[in-house]
Amino acid sequence: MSVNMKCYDTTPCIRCFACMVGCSAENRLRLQRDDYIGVEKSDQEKMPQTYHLTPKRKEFGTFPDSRQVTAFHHCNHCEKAPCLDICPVDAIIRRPGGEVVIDHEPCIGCSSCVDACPFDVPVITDGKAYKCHGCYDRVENGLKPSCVNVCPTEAMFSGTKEEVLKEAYKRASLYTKVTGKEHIVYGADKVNDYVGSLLWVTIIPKEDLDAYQLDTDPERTVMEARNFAKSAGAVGAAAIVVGSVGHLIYWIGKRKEKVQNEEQNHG
Amino acid sequence: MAKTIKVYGNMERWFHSHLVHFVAFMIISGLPVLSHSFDFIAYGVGIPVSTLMGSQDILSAGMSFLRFIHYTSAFLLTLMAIPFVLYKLTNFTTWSMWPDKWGIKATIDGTAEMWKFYMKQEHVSFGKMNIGQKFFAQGVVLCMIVIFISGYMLIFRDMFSVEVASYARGAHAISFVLLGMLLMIHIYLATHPTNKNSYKAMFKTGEMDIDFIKDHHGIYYDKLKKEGKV
Repeated sequence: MSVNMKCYDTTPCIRCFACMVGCSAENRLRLQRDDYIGVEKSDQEKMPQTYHLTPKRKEFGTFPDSRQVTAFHHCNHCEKAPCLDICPVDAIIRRPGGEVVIDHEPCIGCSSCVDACPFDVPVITDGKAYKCHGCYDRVENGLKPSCVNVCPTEAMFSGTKEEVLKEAYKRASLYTKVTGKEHIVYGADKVNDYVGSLLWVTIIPKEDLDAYQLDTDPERTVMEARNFAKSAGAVGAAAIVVGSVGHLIYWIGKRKEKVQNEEQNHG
Repeated sequence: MAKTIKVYGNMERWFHSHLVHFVAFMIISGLPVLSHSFDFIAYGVGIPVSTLMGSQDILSAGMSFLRFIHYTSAFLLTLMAIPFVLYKLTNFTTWSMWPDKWGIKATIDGTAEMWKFYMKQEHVSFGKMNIGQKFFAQGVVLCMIVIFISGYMLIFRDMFSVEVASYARGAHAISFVLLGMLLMIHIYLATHPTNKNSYKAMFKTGEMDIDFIKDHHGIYYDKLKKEGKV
């Protein structure tokens, strides 16, 4: 199976938020289907764990040169997903299509994924972690992800990685030509060593990366230090065991030699 | 003249003995969260737990149980540490872990003395603790403080931002790795034949032969003599 990719194009987006509504509706239906919640309750309660695509509104500049930007906050399905690596119960898996998915059955809600994610994506509710699953089951059955399915302007589109990148670069090139502003496909190339490249990319004017809160160096420095400490700790522990055994053997030999010398001197 | 003298008080011995149990529980229950290399612990615990509880995932059942053990041990250790810390704070300035002499030269001299004792088996004169023990004790106290604070921050993580909680998780793991290495060295040297008198004093009687102190801990002997204790 080829790797799947999603793309959000900021230019044709009309801020109708149908993608977010579609995402939440899809996830409520999933919870109903899996008997986690009844129909009435899922219709009445806010249930933040069902919103895997959320708006992050921010205002920039000072009046009259101010503007408001609504960024999209979602899982990027990182190439080197730190959440997947850190999960102690292997509840986070990568589907054949590349989607990073939380299996709620083994999840113990330890928040390790929350701490490892540099995009602040997973949320813990009722002792389980939730985040976008890329509608992997829809995709594996030939459907589009819910957010893509409901987008009226094709600002969200998906497909195989090759198809999406081809279309994304084509659009970015067109926008650059028409507007005179350089447009890039954020996440198509390696973002940094911590997350690698992304399977949810964004077409955006390069100058608007900050406005759309797209981090050019997403990381959790302390988690990288933690990983280093683990490796260094393993080497250190092995060195201590070898050193201790070596010292004990040396010490016993030296002791015997010393006792023999003392006996000879006294004898 | 008494042949032995009390070198470890009842409170110190009581705390150390139980600290061993709780730290062992916390290490065993924490390792699988730190690294997948220790998943076998969670699986070992998870098999009976998942059978008894009827849960499907062995690893999750084991990890949940180990988390319960980790939290319980942490809480009991905290309760146990309160009287010990209060007791130790009354004589903060006289702790054996503080250096007898400060400075680079004193550190080099102290290290050279340890080298002579453990490698050349020459007669040297230590204080109650040698420089290695002092560094160990300082390291352990520092790591324990970081582990304690970051551990409770993780338990009550809703009070902090995700980023702060992330720092707490990192600090908890890093200080544990350091503590683990220190403990390995400590256990080796504590059970080393040359330290059997100290081992016996800590785990059995609390007392040490004065002749042994005079022979191996000359600086400490002089201090005791000055205080009129021997």
